[in-house]
Amino acid sequence: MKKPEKLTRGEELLAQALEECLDEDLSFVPPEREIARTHRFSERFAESMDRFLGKEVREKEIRRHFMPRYGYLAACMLVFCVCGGLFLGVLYPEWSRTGSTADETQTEESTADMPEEAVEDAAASAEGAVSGGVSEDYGVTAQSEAAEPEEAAAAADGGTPAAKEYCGQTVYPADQQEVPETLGGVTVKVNSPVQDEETPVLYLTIGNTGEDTVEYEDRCALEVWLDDGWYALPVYEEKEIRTGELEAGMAVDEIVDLSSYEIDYSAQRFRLVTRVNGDKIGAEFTFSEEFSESMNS
Amino acid sequence: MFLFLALLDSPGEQEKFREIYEHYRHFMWYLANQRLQDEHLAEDAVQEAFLALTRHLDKVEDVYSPRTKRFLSTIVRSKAVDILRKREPEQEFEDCMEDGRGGTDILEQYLRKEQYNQLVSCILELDDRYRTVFEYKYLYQMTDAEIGDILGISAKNVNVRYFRARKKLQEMIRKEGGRYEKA
Repeated sequence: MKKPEKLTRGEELLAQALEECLDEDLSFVPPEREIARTHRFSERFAESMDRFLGKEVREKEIRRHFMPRYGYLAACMLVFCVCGGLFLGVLYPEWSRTGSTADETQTEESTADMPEEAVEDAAASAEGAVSGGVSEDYGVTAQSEAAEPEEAAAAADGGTPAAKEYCGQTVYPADQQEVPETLGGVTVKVNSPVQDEETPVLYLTIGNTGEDTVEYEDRCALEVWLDDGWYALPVYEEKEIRTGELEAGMAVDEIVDLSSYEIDYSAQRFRLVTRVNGDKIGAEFTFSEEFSESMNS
Repeated sequence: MFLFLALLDSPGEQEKFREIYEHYRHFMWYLANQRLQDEHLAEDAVQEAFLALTRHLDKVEDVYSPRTKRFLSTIVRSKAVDILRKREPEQEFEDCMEDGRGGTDILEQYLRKEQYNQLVSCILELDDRYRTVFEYKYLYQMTDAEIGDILGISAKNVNVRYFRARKKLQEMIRKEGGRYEKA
């Protein structure tokens, strides 16, 4: 702030009194965190502020500081590589031929310990790569394929599980990966203190025990385990995905209205999945036998 | 309306603005809602306050200082006053018609140490539209033009409001003094 101008004694007293009054007024205002717990900004407000404080600025910053430098760097490297390649090709044609031979030898050595199928794949990859003028990465590819035989088999059989019929509807496979309950200081729990038959709802509580504010999606997906994998249950009324901010030390409940789904409550495993900071996070649960019976009947 | 950060030149200013937003937005909303008793209007007041802040960010040195908190409270309260005045045009008209310079300005005579407690209790009761003008002028040392920029009125009108505020405070102190004397 700029330096105070010369005030009269009376005005100094007035300034002092104003400050005292303001401090007294502000002493009744709850801490920011407490207000945040009871108040959530409207979608309109949050979107506008996010747009102008977050994404646009970040993009602007990236454009301003990163992209031009990246462009220069990439252009320089390209020019350097082309010139270097031409220079070596013209002056040392024999050296480049020797290099190719060495690569072939290395390929033979690296495939010696692999399973037969992997070796065949590697050889095929190597052939393709060499004929295309690239002979560096195929050994690694073959090894990684050999290390994941189950995935390879699944892919050969058609990859992920196929769509199924469930409760008179077609359900499609969800992401098959295990979804963690805790991720970087954020924990989710399925919390349903009262399961009311009239208004069956579930609460997915997202708790931020970390030190930073996180961004979460206010919609979660309900998935069911059917024999061979997780399947996403279609919802009657699609809700627009919105994101909210969850400050450190805060928790928020996402409400899932079960009446929006066709559910066989006796299925053994369900999970609710949402996204926090863009990463999937979710919690598994089952319905109690009593509740299942009443709901299914 | 919301091109806040486009209004700020340096990345340092943008960062400062973002910090203020992160740290004080709920606080500012709370103050606005206290005055307006309407969550959405309170949000409008907060947005208006942030817009005004982009033009006076130089007044903020330390984001986390009590002075910054006071400054933000003054801005958001004055924005809440603006919104209230827009909702009650009759009152605004009445105020425009009133001559702010009428009567004798003898406030200086009332501003004495012996009357400090009376002064404090009067300020606490003083309408926010007057009190914020005092705060801008005496706490943050802002010129009439700067105050006018925040309030969306001309410097001349700021002066009128300032004299009206002095007159009002003077009346309040005089009444309060009478009550003290009777007691």
